[in-house]
Amino acid sequence: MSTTMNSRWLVPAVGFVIGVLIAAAELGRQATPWQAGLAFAIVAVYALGLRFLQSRSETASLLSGLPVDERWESINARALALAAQIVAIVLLIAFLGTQFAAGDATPYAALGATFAVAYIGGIIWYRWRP
Amino acid sequence: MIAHEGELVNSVRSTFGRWWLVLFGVALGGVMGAADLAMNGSPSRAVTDLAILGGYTVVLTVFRGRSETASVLAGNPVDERWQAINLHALAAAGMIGAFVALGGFIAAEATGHDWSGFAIVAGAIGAGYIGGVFWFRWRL
Repeated sequence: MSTTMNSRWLVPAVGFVIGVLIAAAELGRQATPWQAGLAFAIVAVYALGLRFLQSRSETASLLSGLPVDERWESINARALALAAQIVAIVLLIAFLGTQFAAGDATPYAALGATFAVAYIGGIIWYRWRP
Repeated sequence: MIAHEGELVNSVRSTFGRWWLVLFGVALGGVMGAADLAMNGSPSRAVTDLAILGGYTVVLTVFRGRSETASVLAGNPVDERWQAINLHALAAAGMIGAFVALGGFIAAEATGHDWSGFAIVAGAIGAGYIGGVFWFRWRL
């Protein structure tokens, strides 16, 4: 019971932490407290909304990290895989576009390298732990 | 969409045979080389880009008949188990990419650097994931 309650609050709690970090980063760049508060509120409202819709909507439950059954686990894995493939293409296009424009492509190169290491690491990991 | 993508990929594969991946790698390496040439004016770096991508795809093509891992990396999982491994590895990479992009965004914002690159990538992951949830919800 307490484990279930902890799981139900995990994603909202992570959302709150991310909201606080974003607000602190905003304040660090001389944003007004209102701007920092708005940045926190956007993330916090999303996280709270997911928490309250978790038990009413299967989609909200999935977005909270709690797929209700095997079908939704499969939807989650396929959606993540689709997002990963889209990001790989976006990274490649952004990297090449920035290179052609003589801009700083370091963030795209770093994210692309992280993505490639995670993908190849995932293949090796799941090969031994399917 | 997946079925149409599969038909397109199969049609490209049947047209170019087993070397379609090498052609793709050389084409991509050529574009990267051209970008490097435009930015640095260095032909040697452009040739290095072409050699890395061309070499990588040649190695995958040569070894994909002998290694199941090379086969997955070449886009041809040999069976359902390897398809599942590929799916889970992609899902893990997507999730790690999301956290790294978010962390990069917050760090860049806090240190006064340009965060637009991280925001674009995080936005693409978010839109791709939520779009994927709604897409597969109706298709599965």
